[in-house]
Amino acid sequence: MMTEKKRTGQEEGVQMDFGLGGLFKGIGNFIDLLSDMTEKGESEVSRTGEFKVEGLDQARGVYGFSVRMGLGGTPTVEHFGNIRATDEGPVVAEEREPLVDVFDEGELILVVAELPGVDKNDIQIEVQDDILSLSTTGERKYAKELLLPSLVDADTMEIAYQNGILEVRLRKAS
Amino acid sequence: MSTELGDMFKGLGDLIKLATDLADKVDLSELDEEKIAELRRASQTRVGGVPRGVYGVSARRGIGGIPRVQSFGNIRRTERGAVVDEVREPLVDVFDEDDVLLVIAELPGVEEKGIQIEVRDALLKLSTTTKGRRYAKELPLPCPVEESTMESAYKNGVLEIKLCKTGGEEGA
Repeated sequence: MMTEKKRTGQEEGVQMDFGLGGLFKGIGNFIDLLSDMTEKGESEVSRTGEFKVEGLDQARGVYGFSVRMGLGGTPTVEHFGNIRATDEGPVVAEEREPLVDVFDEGELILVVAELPGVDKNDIQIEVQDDILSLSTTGERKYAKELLLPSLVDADTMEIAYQNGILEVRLRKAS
Repeated sequence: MSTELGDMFKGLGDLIKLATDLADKVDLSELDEEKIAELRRASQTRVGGVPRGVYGVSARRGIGGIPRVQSFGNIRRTERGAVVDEVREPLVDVFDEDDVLLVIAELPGVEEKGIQIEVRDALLKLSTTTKGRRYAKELPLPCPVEESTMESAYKNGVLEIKLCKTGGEEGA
């Protein structure tokens, strides 16, 4: 196993390679940095002894992204979680953006959202034209606004929730 | 309250900005055939018929205000770059509640009977065998526990495991 311990770029801002280096190389660097933080962050923070992220007292902060190959080999990057970047630094929000996938299945649009820890009755879904708004009430709160790849007929919506996964099926507007 | 940030979260703020940039700015028309083929290879493992990579970090306030940061997801570092694995590391939280440790794992999309939990001393191994989504995680616990005391419940995609600490009763 080779482990690279170089930490170039972290002091003066992170260097990402968007051009010919490609998307995944960039993500690789991103993961390197996050992993370094995960491994070393604790001792660094212990040393500074002072630490404040607004909201972290009440909630757990989550930040992530998903990468998926879409139609025609186009990868899409989506982020999720409840840590938001603001001018005053990162803030932990109460509402978490869920991990969502959208699939174009011919006449149907299928939306799959990961909503672990909510009850089916606490899920609200609204659809207007090509925008789907998803939110939950209860102990765990999720919220997401989603642009669908085409206009849909809101009356045709079918919803299933099982084991923390929400599936929404919508017929495309003809 | 002070808005002064620890090094780590300052770094995290930068990284979130970068990830957002990444999501916004990647222009695929600039990638050549070879690069697209590489991307295909990198995400060739399919989850439920669709290749999808996930990477994330979670931060929770720990003892004395020191945050604990953990990573989760299925994107792994290799010598050839980032690779999307079929098996995903779940998001897990561990709570120390006096005599009991409470482990909460987010495992959306699996069946309860497909969940395997193994505990030895201070190590918890979690894996799922359900078709479709697969998760695995090895979790060092903050103290040794009695495996025989394990209680687990799975509901709405969240697994909760309770374990009594070793020597908890004698020591009390």
